[in-house]
Amino acid sequence: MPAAAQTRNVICSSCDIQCTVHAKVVDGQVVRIHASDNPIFRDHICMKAVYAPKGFAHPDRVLYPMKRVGERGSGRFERVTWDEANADIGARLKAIIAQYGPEAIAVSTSDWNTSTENGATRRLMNLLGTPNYISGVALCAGNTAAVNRLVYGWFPQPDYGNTNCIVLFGHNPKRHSWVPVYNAIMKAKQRGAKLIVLDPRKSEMAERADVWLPLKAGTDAAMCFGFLDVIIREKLYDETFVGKWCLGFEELKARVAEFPLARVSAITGVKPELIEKAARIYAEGLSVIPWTPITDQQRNSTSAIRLHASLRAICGNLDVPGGEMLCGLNRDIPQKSHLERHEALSQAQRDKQLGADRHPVFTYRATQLLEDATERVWGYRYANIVNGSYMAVPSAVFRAMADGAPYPVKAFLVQGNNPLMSYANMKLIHRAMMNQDLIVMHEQFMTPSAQLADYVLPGDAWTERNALLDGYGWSAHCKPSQKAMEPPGECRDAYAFWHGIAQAVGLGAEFPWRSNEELLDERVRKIAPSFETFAASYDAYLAPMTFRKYEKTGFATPTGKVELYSTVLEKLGFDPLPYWREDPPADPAFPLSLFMGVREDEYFQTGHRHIPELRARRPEPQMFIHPATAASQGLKEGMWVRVETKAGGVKLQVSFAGHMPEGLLRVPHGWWKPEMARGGDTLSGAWDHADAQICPDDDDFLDREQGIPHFKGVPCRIVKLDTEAVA
Amino acid sequence: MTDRTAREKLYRSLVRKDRIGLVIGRALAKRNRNWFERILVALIMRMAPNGDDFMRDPLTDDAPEFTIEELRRFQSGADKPR
Repeated sequence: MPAAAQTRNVICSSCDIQCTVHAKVVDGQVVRIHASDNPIFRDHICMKAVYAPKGFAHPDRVLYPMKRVGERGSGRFERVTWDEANADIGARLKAIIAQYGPEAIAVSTSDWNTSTENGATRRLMNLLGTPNYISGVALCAGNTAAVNRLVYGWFPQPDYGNTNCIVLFGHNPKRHSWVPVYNAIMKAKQRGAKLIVLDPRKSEMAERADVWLPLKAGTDAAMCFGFLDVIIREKLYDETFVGKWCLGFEELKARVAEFPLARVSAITGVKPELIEKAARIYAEGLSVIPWTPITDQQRNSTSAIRLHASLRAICGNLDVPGGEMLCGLNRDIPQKSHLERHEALSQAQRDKQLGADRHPVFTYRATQLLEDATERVWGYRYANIVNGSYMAVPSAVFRAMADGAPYPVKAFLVQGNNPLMSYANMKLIHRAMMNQDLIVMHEQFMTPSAQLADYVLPGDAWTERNALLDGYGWSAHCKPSQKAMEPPGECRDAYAFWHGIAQAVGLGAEFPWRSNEELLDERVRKIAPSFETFAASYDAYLAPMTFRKYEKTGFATPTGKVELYSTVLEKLGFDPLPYWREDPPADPAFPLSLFMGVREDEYFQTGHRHIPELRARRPEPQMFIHPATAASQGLKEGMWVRVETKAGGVKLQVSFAGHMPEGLLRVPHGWWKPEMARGGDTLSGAWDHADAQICPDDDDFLDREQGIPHFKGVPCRIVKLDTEAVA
Repeated sequence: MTDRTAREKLYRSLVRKDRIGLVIGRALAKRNRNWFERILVALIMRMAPNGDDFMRDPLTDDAPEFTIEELRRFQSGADKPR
């Protein structure tokens, strides 16, 4: 007789958008993922969720702790127990700390994969004394959060339900990518909200836009100056709000005056009248500029993000219905920021954070200047929004790992993250990882990074754990995810991973919760007697929403005002106003331009290539190019080519895309082939296909204030490959 | 108007979200050839290999249910891809 089916409410973590879906469980196995019956969430599902159970059941999944037995990178491992692994890891970490200091330990994680860590990552790091945490959020939302905090003390969330206008800077949510955002935009459009899209590509969102501005890749900051020029010249801004709440409007106005529309048009390639039209629509009523991964990854990223923030502020869109809300921390449920123990990290250790000297914006050096203001407004000194406010600079960490300067980094702990392919300059990262005394990965699969590790410890999946998703500390809304099945083999959750290491290094007393479940019970204690009860009662726990909170508290900046002129950046020796930095001189050896950092719908970051149904839809890494540009290069569709930048090259298959502008190529992020040979010179295809090889990270391609790389408009060239080279 | 927006308009004029079955039923009842043609277009679009992103998508609406046997077979490596 077949077992009765159960339904569990789970939050998909196959990408970072956190859709609530349902898992159908039969005989202890998840057999189907389908949409939630909650009317708020019922359209929030995509193919990555649907095929996730097949991915988690894959025969190549790592089910037991594995220890390296061959040379580093040989890909040879043997099975050990968790106890053996933790004892050895603990002893080796202690030896490294004794020889080099705690700062010689670096950590890289991806938060969407590790939603059960409950702040344990930074808690352990802070208690050990190392500030060297890095994450992909350094170039995706975390950095935007940190820059927004400089301007008005929080990272705002758009009120799609009530806004009159949505402005997308290159962001392209779709039916299978950023689905809740896509659904919210579609609903807003249906009730008449305007859509403005700025994108060099005629993307799906650009096709739906009321106004499409096909700007040159990487010119977001210049375009914002154009918007501001129109809005300030025509006095379309909220004069009352500016007069009462903005610091440095006159200085900003003077800077904007350096960017008349003719200059902006020359930089961006967009006609002045189109910029005027878009700026007027934006300023006309309540409007939102949602977060975008495109502006995150540019040479002028800090300025562009600050200019987005300035537009929001001067047009009166901050913390009002229909505008962008400053949510703050949830006061009923302790969030990760509350659990991470940043106060335990001494100033001397904070000062050692790698990269903070040259690129301080998301490091302690900058964000600690906001601590008093954060406590005054949000009731707690630390606000690690999207994990992005207390990071080291990734390129500086990899240089220290590779070369020992300014000091050696000798241990690398990695959770749910494929660092070799997730940051710029893969050759440097490879050299850095090969120079480590200890690499520990908490992973589901033998990724190219895991193949370089000393230990690969088996991680659970999002159907196999209870979790409390706290909106990345951004929205103050908390959503429970119910465990739908037991993890296979000896897979363990993220908290268990850190708890085990904490015990091994003698910090077990600082982690009094014996399990993820015990910690979850404590987190929801104010609301419910246990996490189980909480999860059965709430699909989401929404913090009460109030608007214009700044009228009571001021903004969480040193002056209490919206800092159009940043006192923090001034103190750190940077231009306190946003600016435009020109491209480096053109190199005739690289006549084309490259747009990177965007994924295909089937995959998220470097994941999912092992799922047969998804792979069948998108079997090979491709390069998207306008047919006319392809013709000028003598390329045919389906041909294999090598795309080269000054940093390196990757093999890709040519795919014609009429929506691409001429002269611009797009290379999707995160390609490797799990079915290819592990280790050695192959690393499962990473050396052939991973876009991290063509992302430069020298000064010309780094944003000054953050130190993040420029992915939008990198000079490149195409080399045709013959059949032998492809083989 | 681009192809995609035209198809979206057509689709929306035909059905509201997940009510395609209802529309087919109505069309059958009316034996209206014009409706039939439009429904056929909608169905073909629904089956488009890449899934048009403006409609309820068979990739998610008709999400596969894996049998326990299928999952176990897959886990054992018997159905290992490629």
